Amino acid sequence: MGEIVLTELERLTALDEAERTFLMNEEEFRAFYELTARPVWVYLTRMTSDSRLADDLLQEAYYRLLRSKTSFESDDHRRNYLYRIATNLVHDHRRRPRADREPLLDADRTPAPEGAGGPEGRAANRIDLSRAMARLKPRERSMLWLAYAQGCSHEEIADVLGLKTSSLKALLHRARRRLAGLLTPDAGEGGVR
Amino acid sequence: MTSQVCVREMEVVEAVLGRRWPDGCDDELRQHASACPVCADVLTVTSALRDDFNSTRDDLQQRGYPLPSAGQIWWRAAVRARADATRAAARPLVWGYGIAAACVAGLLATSAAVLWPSVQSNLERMEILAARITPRADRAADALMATVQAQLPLVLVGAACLLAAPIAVYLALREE
Repeated sequence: MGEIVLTELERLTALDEAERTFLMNEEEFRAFYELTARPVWVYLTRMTSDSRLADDLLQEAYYRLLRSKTSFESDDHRRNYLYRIATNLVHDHRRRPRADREPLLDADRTPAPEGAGGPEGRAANRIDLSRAMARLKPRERSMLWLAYAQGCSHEEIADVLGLKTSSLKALLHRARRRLAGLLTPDAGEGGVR
Repeated sequence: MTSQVCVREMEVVEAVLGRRWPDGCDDELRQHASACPVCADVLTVTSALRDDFNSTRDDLQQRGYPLPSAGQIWWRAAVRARADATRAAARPLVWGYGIAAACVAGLLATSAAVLWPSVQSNLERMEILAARITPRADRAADALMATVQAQLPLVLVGAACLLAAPIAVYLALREE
């Protein structure tokens, strides 16, 4: 079906309709966006290793959140739901045929840290971390990032990733062991250096 | 088998995320983290990931363009929701048009099949009739051509008027 072009009047009507269609009003959305946009963007950037793609996925994530019919008990609940959408978007992107997408984290590629204006050691650490993260499974990356970069609780991570809290603890422990092994200089074969 | 959890690992995580590690923590926690394998792993991983979080967030501030504002996201979502709704509303109409077109085509095909014998017999009858009136038509055409040739200037003026009339009407209406 062809592209639907909206007139100016329709665009204005759309804003009125949005107030009725979306489960939150514009003021609530602004407050929630200011609180969550940066951490979610950082999460998407680290999960995809592509800041441009993260920009697109961020917008898509908020659109899906606004269109969802779920009623949220609190901002924390809404935030967890947003992270779940973001995680699913990353996984969906990963599942697309390779020709259609930019490569995500890849152990053989070393994504150069953007804005490498900081000290060399810091940049090298980031490269090490990128390489180490690339060796983990996507779910392991997500849970480690949420737990140790963003400080989410086990319950929140389980909610985001659709896991049971009891099984998350074991999975998180295993992923943490692997990443720590990859990051430690004397980690032998598993090390990234 | 090593233990999977340590009761103090959250303290280590909170200290690193709260930028209190190592100077803002008590000695006892530091000693524990160096002796406990679980907390040592937690410390390694949390420090690396938190540094990366901060660096990536700094990248966002250093790049040439910021994140879209909340207002932009809201506006685009509203317009897209409207377009999606319009598209969803148009979908049954498109299906309706398609079904109607298929019905008309089917009706025409059926009608053609049913009426074809009578059309064929009428064509044959017209063929016979045309063969009978051809000599008379030829004579009438000759007479018409002779009249046109005799009154050629008058015919040309009439044709010019017929052509100019709609243009004149269009110009008059446009000025109004």
